Amino acid sequence: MACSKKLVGDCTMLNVNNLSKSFGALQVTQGVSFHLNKGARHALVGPNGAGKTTLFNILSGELAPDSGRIIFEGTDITSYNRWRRVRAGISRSFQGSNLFLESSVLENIILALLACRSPATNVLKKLNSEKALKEKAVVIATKVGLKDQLAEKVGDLAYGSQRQLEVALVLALSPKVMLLDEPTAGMSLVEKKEMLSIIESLSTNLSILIIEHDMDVVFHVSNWVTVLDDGKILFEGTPEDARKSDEVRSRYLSEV
Amino acid sequence: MLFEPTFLANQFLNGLQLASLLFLLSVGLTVVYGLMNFINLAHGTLYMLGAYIGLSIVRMTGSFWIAFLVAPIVVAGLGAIAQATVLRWAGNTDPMKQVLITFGLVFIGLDAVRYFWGDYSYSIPSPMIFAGTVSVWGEPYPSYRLFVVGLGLLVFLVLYFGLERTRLGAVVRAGVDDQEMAVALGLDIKTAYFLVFCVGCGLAGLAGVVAAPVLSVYPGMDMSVLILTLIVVVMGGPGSLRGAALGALLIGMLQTFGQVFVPALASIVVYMLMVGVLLLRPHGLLPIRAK
Amino acid sequence: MQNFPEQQLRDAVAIIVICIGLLVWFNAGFFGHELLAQIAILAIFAMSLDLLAGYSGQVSLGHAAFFGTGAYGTAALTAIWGWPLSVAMPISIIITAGLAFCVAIFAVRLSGIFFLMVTLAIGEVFHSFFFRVRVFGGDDGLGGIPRLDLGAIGIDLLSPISFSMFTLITVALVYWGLSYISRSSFGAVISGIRQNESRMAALGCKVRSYKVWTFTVAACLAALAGSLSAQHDGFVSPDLLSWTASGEVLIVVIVGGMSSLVGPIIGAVVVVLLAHYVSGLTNYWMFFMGLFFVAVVLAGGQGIYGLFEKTCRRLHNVKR
Repeated sequence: MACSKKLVGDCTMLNVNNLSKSFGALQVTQGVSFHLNKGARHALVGPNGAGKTTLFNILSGELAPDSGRIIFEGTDITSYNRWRRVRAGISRSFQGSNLFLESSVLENIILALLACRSPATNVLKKLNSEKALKEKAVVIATKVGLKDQLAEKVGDLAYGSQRQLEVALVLALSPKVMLLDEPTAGMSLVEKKEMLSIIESLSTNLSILIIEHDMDVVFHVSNWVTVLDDGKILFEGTPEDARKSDEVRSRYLSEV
Repeated sequence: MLFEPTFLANQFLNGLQLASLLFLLSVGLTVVYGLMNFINLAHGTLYMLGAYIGLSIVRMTGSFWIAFLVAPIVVAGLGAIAQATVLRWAGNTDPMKQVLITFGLVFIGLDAVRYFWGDYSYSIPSPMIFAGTVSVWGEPYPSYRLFVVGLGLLVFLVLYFGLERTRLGAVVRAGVDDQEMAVALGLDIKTAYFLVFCVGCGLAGLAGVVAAPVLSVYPGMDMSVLILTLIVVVMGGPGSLRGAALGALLIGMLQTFGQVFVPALASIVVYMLMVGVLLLRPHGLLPIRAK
Repeated sequence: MQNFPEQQLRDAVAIIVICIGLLVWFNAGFFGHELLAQIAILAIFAMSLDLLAGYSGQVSLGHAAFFGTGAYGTAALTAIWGWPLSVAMPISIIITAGLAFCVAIFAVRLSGIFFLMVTLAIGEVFHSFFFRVRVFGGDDGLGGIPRLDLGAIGIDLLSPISFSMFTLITVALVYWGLSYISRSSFGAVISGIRQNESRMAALGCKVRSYKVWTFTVAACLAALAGSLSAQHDGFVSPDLLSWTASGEVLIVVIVGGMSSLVGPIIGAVVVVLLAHYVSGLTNYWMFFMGLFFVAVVLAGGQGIYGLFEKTCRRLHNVKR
């Protein structure tokens, strides 16, 4: 079910209107508007300090914007707190590794599956008897290529595997919109290739917004690019158009 | 009788006195907290030690002023030893563990005091110069208490100029503001921290000596004052000198007037204030840090 | 690497410890039974703090507040208002639950050092309340507390032998209950909250709700211990809520081994026995307890059971 990238319509999952955020005198986000349609593979790029992660923080509910609206599947979720947004269907991964280091890979994914349940539901279930959950966790782990490392302590995992687990945790939440924050940051070429194939294997029903610095990844994975600079949107279009745009080249894509 | 101006003026001065003591105590704690994100729960113990050491010096020499000068130095020295040994060993562990260790030191300090000085409560007489009274609104008011208020003000001014005008002060302010950056700029944060810590300990000891003629000296005096000090630090914001002063003033007044008018509720109000500040303004009423 | 049977080891050691307790019970004299009851009550108190601090990561320096309300609740309802203990006990626990809930809804918004400071302050508020309010005896305390009347089943709890068995059974039940919680999905979630609270929130977990529940349950169990203590001593005083009491129970948990449930039981045994031994020698046993505690924290903070478990893990990995 192809959804036109350019138009806001029935298959628009996320509609961001005029978001602004400042910290004291520093304006980190200035009137940012864009939309994400179903099945989108939308990249958010820009130099360091452009406000990409801040935007993610606003979208995921960790930061409240000073002004602007966030509309998810037609509902205004600007006032929703973090867990409400997760339950609505937006989840994010983190730039650094933000995992449960003392637990195993499997336990991490199971935690993600347990997190949304209420205390009352959880207290009545013995962890060892959560067979369905364990199976689901194994499936997710396999999807991100961690099937052979289920019992390993996450703190001991290789960096690349930790980044894969980051994606797994978000997948476990069965999101409709996925915010990936620099999934390939700090990875070797081999690891990047693996991550790319993982992202490419994700369902076309899933809408993905991905922050990336590596333009190769951007060209491989995304069909739409938003370039952020100094908190404002500098350019929006296909990756090829971004590459050709003079504005973008002069400000950012000097080496491509 | 409760609302007579003389009585109110009296209580106001008592509030200022308590504020002064709380300021002396909280300033060391807050700057160390601001610099190193570390709360020394044994700070009250240093206060108690200052009082007891002051007591011994007065017994030995008969002079309050010698105690006034020497006790803070001894306490600062004890603090330096603790910092160089126990706290340094714990340096690489997480901040929680460091705080727990200071809590262990509270237990140790409490029994150490009981061992050397016994379980009784003592008092020391105020020095001759301030043994008399001064007329406040027609009623006599102990001039020693006015000395305490003046001392607090003096220390505030000295520290204020120290922080603003000296090189060490600049390093401290930079460290409180952004520790990583300060270290990256090559500022000697470690030495600054050590010096600040010792000065803080000394001030706590000073508070102890100075409080001794007014409050009694007994094992356990550390905890009652520690909690009020923590509240002041929380209210003032980490690392903020003016915050500590403002917080001390607020808490000193609230506690004093509260005890007089609504004794049962006084503590609750003060603690609720702490909870409120922690929830609504976690960086204090006069925060220094940008975030 | 095969999984280390962590939970099984804990349960096994707990069973061994309780069996040893039973053995001691058979052979103890009067003073032995007094000690046994003391250890059992402290063990329940410490396990409740382990749930709060060890499992959900909310390290509190004011837990004695709830021990105290359980004790005072029981004391006031029986000694002042003449209610039967069978009613007074559960009511005092329910009242504690209410108070704990009210404290928790604010306190759980804080963590780490801030939470520590707030719990310290709350402990002092509760302490000063019972110190000042004359109805509860003020700093003289309150006496005349009876013990549970089990005459219907032919047991006289006034006898130290029966009472110490009563407390031993309670320890076993509390351990079993808390062990169940730790093995449940609830236990997994709060352990996740302890490890990385912000991530749990980002995963859609209602972190505050979990923390409030844990805080309240821990307070209820502390109140149970407090109620038993009131019955055991026949007397309550504001000292039960002092910061030293809160500090001591935290020391017991850490010395025994935090986050294991069986560690606090071991910690209770060690601390009570040491206290009695050391008090026989010197008047300054807080000094030694403080020293011991600092040593344990400097050595890594794992406590007795923690070290034991670590050693077993090493052996387990070597064999494989």
